[in-house]
Amino acid sequence: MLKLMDEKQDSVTLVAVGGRLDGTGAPELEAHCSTLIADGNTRLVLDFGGVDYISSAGLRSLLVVAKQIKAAGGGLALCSLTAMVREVLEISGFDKILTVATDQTAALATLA
Amino acid sequence: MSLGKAFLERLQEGCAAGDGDYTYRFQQLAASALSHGSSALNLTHPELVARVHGEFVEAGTELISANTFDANAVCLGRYQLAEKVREINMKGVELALVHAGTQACVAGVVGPLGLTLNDDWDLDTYRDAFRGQISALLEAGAHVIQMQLFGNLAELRLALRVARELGGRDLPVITQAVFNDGGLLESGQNAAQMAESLIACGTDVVGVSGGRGIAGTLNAVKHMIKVTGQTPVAAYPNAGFPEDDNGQIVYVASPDYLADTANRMARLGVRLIGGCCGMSSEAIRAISVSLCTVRSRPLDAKNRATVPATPEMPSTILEPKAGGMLESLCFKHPIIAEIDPPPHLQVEATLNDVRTVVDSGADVISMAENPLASLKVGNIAMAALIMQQMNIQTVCHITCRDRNLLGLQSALMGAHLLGVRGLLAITGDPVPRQSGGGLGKGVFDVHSPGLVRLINQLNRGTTSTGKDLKQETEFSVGVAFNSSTRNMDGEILRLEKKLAEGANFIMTQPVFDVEHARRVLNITGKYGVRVFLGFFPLISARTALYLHNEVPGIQIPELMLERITAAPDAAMQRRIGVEQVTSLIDQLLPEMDGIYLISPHSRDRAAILSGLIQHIRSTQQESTYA
Repeated sequence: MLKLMDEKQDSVTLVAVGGRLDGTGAPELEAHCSTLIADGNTRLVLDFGGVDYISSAGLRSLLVVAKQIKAAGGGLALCSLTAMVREVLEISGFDKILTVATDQTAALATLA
Repeated sequence: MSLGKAFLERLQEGCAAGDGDYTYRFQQLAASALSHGSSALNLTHPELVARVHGEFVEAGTELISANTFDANAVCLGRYQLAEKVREINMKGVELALVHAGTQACVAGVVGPLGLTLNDDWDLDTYRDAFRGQISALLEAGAHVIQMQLFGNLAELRLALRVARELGGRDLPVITQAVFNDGGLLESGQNAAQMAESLIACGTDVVGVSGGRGIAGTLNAVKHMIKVTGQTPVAAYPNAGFPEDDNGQIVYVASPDYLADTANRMARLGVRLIGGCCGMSSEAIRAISVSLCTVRSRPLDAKNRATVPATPEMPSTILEPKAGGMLESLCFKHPIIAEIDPPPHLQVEATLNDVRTVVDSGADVISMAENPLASLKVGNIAMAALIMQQMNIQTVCHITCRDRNLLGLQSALMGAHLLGVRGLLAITGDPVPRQSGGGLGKGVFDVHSPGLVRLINQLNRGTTSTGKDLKQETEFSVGVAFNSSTRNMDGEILRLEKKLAEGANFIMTQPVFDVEHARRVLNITGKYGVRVFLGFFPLISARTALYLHNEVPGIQIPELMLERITAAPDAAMQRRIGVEQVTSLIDQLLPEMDGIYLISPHSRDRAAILSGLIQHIRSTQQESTYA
């Protein structure tokens, strides 16, 4: 079960994600973010500090969320990646197409 | 000593020939047999594999590549052969060992997995695939592990780590990557960055395979070899570019041409030369013979110091240099020296200043465009004059202030034709209102991120409206980073936008103290592009106060201001300023990868920059020989 906790910081919604972004967790993240975006929360920071596993299913969900946010004219940033998640992003090339920040403060700054 | 270790020692002493393209030869001999990929032939057509090994050994190869490039669980899984990984790899090594005899060395070849987002995978998919293949290769007796044609540095590093886990530090490992037309890996790093990263991860040999034809490989190894020190470099170029000959892919580069190129590579210091796509045994034979004529110097860390800091002065006008400016700077601590154009048409003194800093060892001359919105001679024209007279690259600052989109593109096309290859894309200081309209108004059709995007469109051969330029420009695009802004978060965001648009390098505003400089390096160093840290010799109290109080983006530490303003005369102020910047550079040199020296507003600006450049070069020499 994926843990998702939202916090509003001005116009940015910060989502703390915890657990595994696999074939089960990834659709949960996608659905959660889709609802946020549909409700007008188009500037998202996903704090991945609690994500200890990500598969290609998780990457596909991230791509879907990124596309939805782009279509809505918003912004997306990831932060606090564990070494494992960072390596997956590098191998997939996602580190080049997504905004990745070291921590929440830096991620929020990219959406300011 | 194991054959693998002996082979590594052999590479320290001279250049060896590798082998060529097995799949190309299989296609010539029995294309229909390749329905399940190349490595499955080890089981289905072992006699065919053995025959091609024999051809390459007879041609003179000293490192035989087992036919195992795609023999991992992921690639074989596409043919429902995943359960045959161990068998196919072991048979592949066995077939190579038969032909190796007691002299040649056998490499277990490992290729990338080719996974995409459409596949289901995680990090363990990579680890398990490499582990399964490499353990079988080692079990079968491969002397060396040779990783080829990787485009993603993270994947290659992971494969290297797995090889080290399984084979320990004594296992000889060769890592080779493929570069795109821009001289970059698919994951964005250039040849020097890739080599430095893999050497840090413990590769024994680093190199290039496949990719941009022969010239592209030559270009990549030229850059690579400047940072590899005692680590041997391998080059396995394609045999030129493929052509479709009535449905058959053919490579037209002749063995003689390939041998000449191999000879050039060997003389550059490359230690293992084979071939990738289209490289036949005839070509390997010619290469092997050609390498016999090369007398190699022992590889030594000091070789890094023998790379000339500046090219020799030419006696005639030079052709514009091909390739982006950054491609020629893939070594440690390249120096960009800034000499701005004059505000009048008497340019000889400026050209003399440039000549002085070039003679001192500057790698690139940077020229601002009407800095602080004060009128100067056009920097593109100055760059052309400089490049006509001196063998030096230039970076022209291009502002969004002085031209509309039409003018920008027109000027950039002209700059390309004149040989300019480096640009710094900046928004530009606004025209002061007190100019009373005498200097016009700022245009700002785009801001710096948009300018970076525009330049990259030209680099892809199209204009902002999508029209075909019939040629691609070859600009390396730099962007500025202002480290003294009050809104650092906003500045970082702007930097990231510019990098997201495709900027290739960063030039920072000057730093004046170590802690500040380290913060700047910390911020800018995480993006994987080369950072040129800015330094400005504060040689007068008046300049220090002016910059601190009036110039956007520059803040001078209080202590420094107090010291220089307390100095009794101009000579003392100058001495303090030069000492301060020299000390700063000394402290930061090990942490920097590029240096950007901005000349002070002084008649002897060239002498000051020249002194700093000579100091940096001598410090580099000392650290290299230490």
